[in-house]
Amino acid sequence: MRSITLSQAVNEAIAEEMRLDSSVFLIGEDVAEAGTPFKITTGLVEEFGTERVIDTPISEPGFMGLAVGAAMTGSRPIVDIMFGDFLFLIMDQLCNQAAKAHYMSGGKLNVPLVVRTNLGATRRSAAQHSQSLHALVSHIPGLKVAMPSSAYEAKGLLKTAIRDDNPVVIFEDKLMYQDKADVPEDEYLIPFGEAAVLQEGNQVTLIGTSSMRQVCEEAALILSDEKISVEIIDPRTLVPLDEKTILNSAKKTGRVIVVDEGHQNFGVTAEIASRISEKAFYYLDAPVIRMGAMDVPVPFSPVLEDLTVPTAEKVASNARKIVAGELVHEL
Amino acid sequence: MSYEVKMPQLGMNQDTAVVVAWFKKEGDKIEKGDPLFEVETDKATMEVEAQKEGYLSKIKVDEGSEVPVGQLLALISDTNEDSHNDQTDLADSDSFEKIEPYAEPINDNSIENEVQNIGDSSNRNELSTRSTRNESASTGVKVLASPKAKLAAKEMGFDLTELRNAGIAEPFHFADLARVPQSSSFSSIYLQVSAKAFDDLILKSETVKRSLLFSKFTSSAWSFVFEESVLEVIFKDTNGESYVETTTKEVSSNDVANTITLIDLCDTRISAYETGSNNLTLSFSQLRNEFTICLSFSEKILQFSDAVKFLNELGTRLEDPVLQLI
Repeated sequence: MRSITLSQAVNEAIAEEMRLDSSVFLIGEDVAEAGTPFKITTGLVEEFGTERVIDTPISEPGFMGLAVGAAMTGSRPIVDIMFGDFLFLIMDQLCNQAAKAHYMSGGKLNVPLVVRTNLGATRRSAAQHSQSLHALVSHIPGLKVAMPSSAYEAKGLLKTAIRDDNPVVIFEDKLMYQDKADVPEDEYLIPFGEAAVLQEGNQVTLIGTSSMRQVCEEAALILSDEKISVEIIDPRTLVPLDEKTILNSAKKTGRVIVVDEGHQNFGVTAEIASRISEKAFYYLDAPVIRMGAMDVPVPFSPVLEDLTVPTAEKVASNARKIVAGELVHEL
Repeated sequence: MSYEVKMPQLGMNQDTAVVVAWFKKEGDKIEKGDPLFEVETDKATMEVEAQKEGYLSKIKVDEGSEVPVGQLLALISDTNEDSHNDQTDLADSDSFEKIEPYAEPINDNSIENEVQNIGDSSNRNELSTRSTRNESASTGVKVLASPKAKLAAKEMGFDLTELRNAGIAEPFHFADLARVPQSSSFSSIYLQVSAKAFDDLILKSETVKRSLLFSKFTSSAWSFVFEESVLEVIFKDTNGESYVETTTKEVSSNDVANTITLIDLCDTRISAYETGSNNLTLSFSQLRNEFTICLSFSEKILQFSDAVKFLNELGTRLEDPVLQLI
């Protein structure tokens, strides 16, 4: 099978869906000639023209509102939000309008739009261009949230998102755009709400979203040298969340570490950990451990920035402790 | 709650060290930073300080012993009672026999509260009153264990305070249940029954093995008396070799299987074999036309009344093998 970068996978997904459905269009800052700062949409404007690949001024609230209206009236916009941090600018359009229109119109309106944006620290982009804000939108009923963990997931999930009749926010890790993975040439979709079990094991479950899947896989490699059997799960979408796969694994291993790059407080790790604690409590042999980003603005200093995110070594160290029956947090 | 004191690693290539002296004795109050013991390696001698405050509840390694790095040396507990009260009380094993039968569902709090009550003899007969429970909960004897360990202990009818008494540090995990010391409180009951019909059956069939029949009769009697409960039968011969003979049904990972060991002494002149362990053991011996069957068991796992029912049922089947077919 051929191997392509995550950035190419996203480009292919958009191009394929635009060819299939003329109501799909792309809108955002620098999406046309510039192809975004990450060179993801390069070549699309040549194929589809400036009517369907639309460059906007620096005005997120404006073009997001425009996209919501277009979606309500029969188009299927893909909105490019250059950095996940700029989600704060489109909160009303996304959370008050797009998320609620279907419900408040008694089902008369659909808002089939996709917000493509990114997350992830350690790119030395400082506190306003490094946040992972997926927990923010996961909190709002009416929005679906997808978290691709490789080029394969990025393409399959984005195609599903474009075809979905509800607003979907999809987060790509900005450090993974050049990472390659096997991606079939034939068309495929990845359904929402189906987690991937990437490795089976029976002593500890590592649940990793987006780039934290790689961190979990590296941790599992470290642990395999120590004969610790690790199960790895990538939820792939946070809303809907594949609770069944997660709970089955928690029941099997009795020990779970949830790893996510959002801030740890009130975050995605907390949500998943508490569902496990509520629904698999009597199977647990250790507290469910959350590992998120440190609760500080992301530092600009590279040395400090690297300290704020979960690493494979830290995940392995916590896994080692709970498998040995040692405490991660003091009593 | 107890904290473990372990032999520290003091040098790069050091595997063991000698505990030269303890500066505290059991029961002493300890502040964090107090010199706790002196340790000697091949290179140096140094004092090790306490990392926790509390009471030195148990010293597990004598002065002068050489032990590996990481070995448990002592326990420090939050309260002074941890080390003394419950241990002395538990020596009186009669007071300990009030664990619910494992087949009966128990309110989740009850096990914990029973455990808490054990330290206080005046509460023993008042387990059902809410106020008593709350009082005993405040004495701080609560056993800390993972939900999985608690559930498994409940199903096994096993009391987690035994782990505390064995000096294992809390919180307990599922794997700690296997670290229970063998208890000496076991019982055995005997049954004598005519072997005539059974021997006839063996003679007639020629091919069937006696041990296999014993296993089959045992598991059917078990299923008859305990219905859903799973039994795994292990056959042990007089050379000491054991192998799994049969189970009453497929053991799924969720089932806690009971295991019974069968010993066939019919070809010897030995009349019974009693084990001093918690495990269920059945020995079969034969004198002329009579079997003597001995069931040894722990009343923490199998209640006396259930043991009687089971052994009676087995006897009835051996006496009249036709019953086995029905």
